[in-house]
Amino acid sequence: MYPTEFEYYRPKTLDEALELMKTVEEPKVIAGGQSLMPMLKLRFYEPACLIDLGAIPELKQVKLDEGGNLRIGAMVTHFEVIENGLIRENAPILASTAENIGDIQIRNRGTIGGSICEADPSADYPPTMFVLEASIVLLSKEGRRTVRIEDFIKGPYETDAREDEIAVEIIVPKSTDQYHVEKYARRKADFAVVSVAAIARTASDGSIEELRIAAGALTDGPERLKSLESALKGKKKDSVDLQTSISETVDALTPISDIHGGEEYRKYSLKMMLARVIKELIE
Amino acid sequence: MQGSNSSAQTLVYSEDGKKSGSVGKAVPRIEDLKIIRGKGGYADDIEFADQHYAAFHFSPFAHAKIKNIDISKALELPGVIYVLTGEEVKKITNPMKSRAATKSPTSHYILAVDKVRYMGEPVVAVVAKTKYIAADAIDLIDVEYDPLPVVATIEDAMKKESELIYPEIGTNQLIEDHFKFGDTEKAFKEADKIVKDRIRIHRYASTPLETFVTSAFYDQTRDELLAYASDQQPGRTVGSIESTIKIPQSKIRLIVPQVGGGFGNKLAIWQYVALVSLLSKLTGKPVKWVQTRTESLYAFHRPRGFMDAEFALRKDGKILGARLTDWQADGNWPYVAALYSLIKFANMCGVYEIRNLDYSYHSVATNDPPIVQDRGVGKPFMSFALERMMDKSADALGIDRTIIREKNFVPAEKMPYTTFSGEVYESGNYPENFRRALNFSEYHEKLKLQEKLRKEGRYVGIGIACGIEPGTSNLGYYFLSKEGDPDYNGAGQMATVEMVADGTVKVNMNGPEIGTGHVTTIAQVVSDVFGLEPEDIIVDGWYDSVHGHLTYAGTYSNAFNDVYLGAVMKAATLLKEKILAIAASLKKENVEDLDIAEGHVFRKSDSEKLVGVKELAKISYGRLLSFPKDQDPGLKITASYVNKTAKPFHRDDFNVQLTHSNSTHICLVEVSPENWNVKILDYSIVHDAGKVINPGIVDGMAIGSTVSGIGGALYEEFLFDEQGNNLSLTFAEYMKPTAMESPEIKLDEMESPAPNTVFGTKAVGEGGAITSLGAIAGAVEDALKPFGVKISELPIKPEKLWEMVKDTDEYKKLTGGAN
Repeated sequence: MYPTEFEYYRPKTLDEALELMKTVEEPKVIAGGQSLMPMLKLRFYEPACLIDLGAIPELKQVKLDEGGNLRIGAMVTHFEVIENGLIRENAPILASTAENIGDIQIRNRGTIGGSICEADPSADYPPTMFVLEASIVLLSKEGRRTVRIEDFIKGPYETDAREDEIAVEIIVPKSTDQYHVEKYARRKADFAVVSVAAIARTASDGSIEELRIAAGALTDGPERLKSLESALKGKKKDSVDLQTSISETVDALTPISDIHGGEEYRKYSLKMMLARVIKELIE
Repeated sequence: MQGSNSSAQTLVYSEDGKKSGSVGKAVPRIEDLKIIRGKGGYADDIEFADQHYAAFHFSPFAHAKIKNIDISKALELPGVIYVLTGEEVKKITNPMKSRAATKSPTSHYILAVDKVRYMGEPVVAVVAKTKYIAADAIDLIDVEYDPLPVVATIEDAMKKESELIYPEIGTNQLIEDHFKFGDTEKAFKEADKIVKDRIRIHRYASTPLETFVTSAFYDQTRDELLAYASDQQPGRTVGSIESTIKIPQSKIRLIVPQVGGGFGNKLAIWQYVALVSLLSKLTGKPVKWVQTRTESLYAFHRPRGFMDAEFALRKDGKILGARLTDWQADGNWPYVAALYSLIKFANMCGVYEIRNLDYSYHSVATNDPPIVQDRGVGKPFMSFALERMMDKSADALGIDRTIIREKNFVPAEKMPYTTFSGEVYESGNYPENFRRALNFSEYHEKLKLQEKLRKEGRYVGIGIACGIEPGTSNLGYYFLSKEGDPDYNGAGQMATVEMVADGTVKVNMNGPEIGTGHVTTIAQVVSDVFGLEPEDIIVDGWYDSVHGHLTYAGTYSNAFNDVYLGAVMKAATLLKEKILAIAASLKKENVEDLDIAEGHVFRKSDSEKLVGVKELAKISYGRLLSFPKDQDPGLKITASYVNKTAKPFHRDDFNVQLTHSNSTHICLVEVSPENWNVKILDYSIVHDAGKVINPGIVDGMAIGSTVSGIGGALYEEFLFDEQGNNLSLTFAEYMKPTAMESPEIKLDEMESPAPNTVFGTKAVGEGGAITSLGAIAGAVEDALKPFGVKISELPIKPEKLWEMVKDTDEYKKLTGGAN
């Protein structure tokens, strides 16, 4: 519970931070510290230098761009995601997702950028980001690039970010369709045992016009359930065989198996959750 | 039984009804203001000059020989001043000894010598200038282990060819014993029905917010040890320091500041107090150790085990006799082997009349980590086993779960009631408590609700448990297997009450304040004696061994209400008598005409104030020339008190504990068919803890202990792999319920005063942990009746329930066969 020795930097501007990323030895970015601090204390990580992004004001802003997309600074806290008027109006599913995260203390300190970059396969944001088709903006001395979150999260705890890059912003397209986001965990503040995010729109004739579904707590990281989406999309809601479609999709997935639940149990539970969530959304 | 205890009992204030006093009122806790502002003053807040820090290398293996320890790199690290290994420990200390077991291991020291017996056993100690250097030094220590076969379960341990945890004993069974009471054989012969089950208990533990903290300074100029520790039983620790590291008791001063939660867990700290004291003695430096959270989860826990239970039943539900065989994997800290089995005698027949009973127990050493007397010790398992058997018996006989309980309660008119083994239930009305609980919980309305919800496809169940919560330990039950008079007992304590020279009343209960409201409770009772308000009394929450204590001084076993209040009241009463005698002499009055209130001694007949206490204190301490010749100056009384209902230990008649609260828990749960998670919809308790001094504090403990039971029933378990590795070393894996999982617990109080305590108070603090397990298990079983689920083990995890239901017809109906 005592970290190894490290140097600590708290830059006041993005330029200063990017310079440090290039010059110091083994830099590790710390955002809200809600995952990193326990890891440091357990000595799972032993970084030489820690770069704290907490003093850079522009990373804490939420804006709407000309295209109507939300631009959420990487250091915006979960609490702010829940409370922010722009987010609630333009991507209510995201505000609801943040409500599921941890407890009050975690939501006050943890950040959206930190959580996405940690890429915990059972974290709350990724399934929602997948159905929103959000992107992340990465910055380094070499330049700026924008990556779809689905491409950014490459696997459990693994992202597309290079060592000298800092995630600065999340771009979230406006989405006010029907949505449902849910996690099942035995304790409210835990990581998901089973999690689902979905958005849907039905046409006036009762057909499913738009449907995007993603699941978390999977071995290889969160996934868009494309086969399920295509099995249902365009169909009339009373003509679909929901149970068979869900079973086929979920049987091809590999949920995480650990002391909080084995693979088969999680598959069962994911099927049950999907059936209920989709039924609710298309009705 | 009804005998009086001491003069204190007859002197409880307010007999004339003149002053209502504060006893019985929910006075807000005086100590909270400091604690919530971060000014509690815990052991880690205390620093010596030139403070050094210890860290330990803990064994990563559950069972292994220590082949070689290389400490050279650690010693080279700047800031490291000393490294201790088992080699030195073996030379200069004595091994730890068993209490109950007749044969004690001779190879188990406070630091591992030659081999390790559990994952997390301390193997090497480092002393350094900072905590961080100490932690870095641990990473530089290279210990070469030679793994031994792991003895993971009781079944493994009992195999003939099993590896031995203690080869010098020749068996892994550290102790076993058999007791027979009444004529059980006849009962089973006459039974209409016999019900059997193997009921299991798992490993779980209390996890106080404050972990083990101890610091020590051995003063080489005076050859004296000064130690601080978050210790619940410091009286015993003083003796254990002497017996292990050989510092005489007369040269030890042990202080316990505010403790951040005890729960019995901190009865095990003594091994580390001895270790850190030894490190200080060897280095000449003050040394502190603050256990990390992960280290606190290595050990100490409750043991896992099982009980084979058999009930002989008459067809109307009457229990004619019982056979119980208890197997406990008591880890490998021989010190407390058998404890979890023997203490079960305190509630072995629960609230029921069972006259014929055979009991066998086996305490087995495995490579599980050591155990400690965690909240309720073996009594939660005893209650769980009994209540499961009550439900199973009812189901087997086809009678209602309420009827079988009503049929077997100890009748109120038999109080005080002596159980088959000699335990004396001093007062109580169990049938009435049960009836009130049925009403309070709206049991019959819940039955209707359950029927309605079942029709809607919801799995809702009701659970009932009735339990005994014993308090005050007549500790010598360890000697049931041995000859002679036990050297220790928990039925007495010593405390000090004084009026200082400015007239202020100060109390030192001289036991650890573990966060359970002692300061306020003592302020309440003492303020009544002196006619003051609780906030006028200064209560010192620190224990200091030099202030005088009995051998097993400490705050444990639900005993504060009995023995510490007994000692405090005795001292307060004697002090009051002395003050009145001095005033009578000074003012030429008859002492029996005088009383004290609001800072004055007054004449009772006309309320005439005769002398202020400030004045009296000044005279008593300083004006020795005008001080009455027939009195002694100074106003400080140290008194000791013992609950005289503690019996000697004869195998056919003994009592393990001296007060017995009781309660009925009724809960309503729902199991989700989507993930088989259990949600508690309603939880009601009718609690009888005798006379209550502070209902706010008592209700808080009843609720808190119930939540700890809910943790044990549904969430918490230390899991081990087949190599004995503890897989639950953070709170992400060891799942404590949080406020968000805790139901609102409804509480109603009954008061059946205990005749054998000063105020009529009884045990408080463990009842919920004891009784809730059975209520929750019963409710889940009831909810899943359509699936035929039977619950005989805990914790009730969703995945386990899913495994139990998934091959049933009801499940196939539910899922349409698609899953």
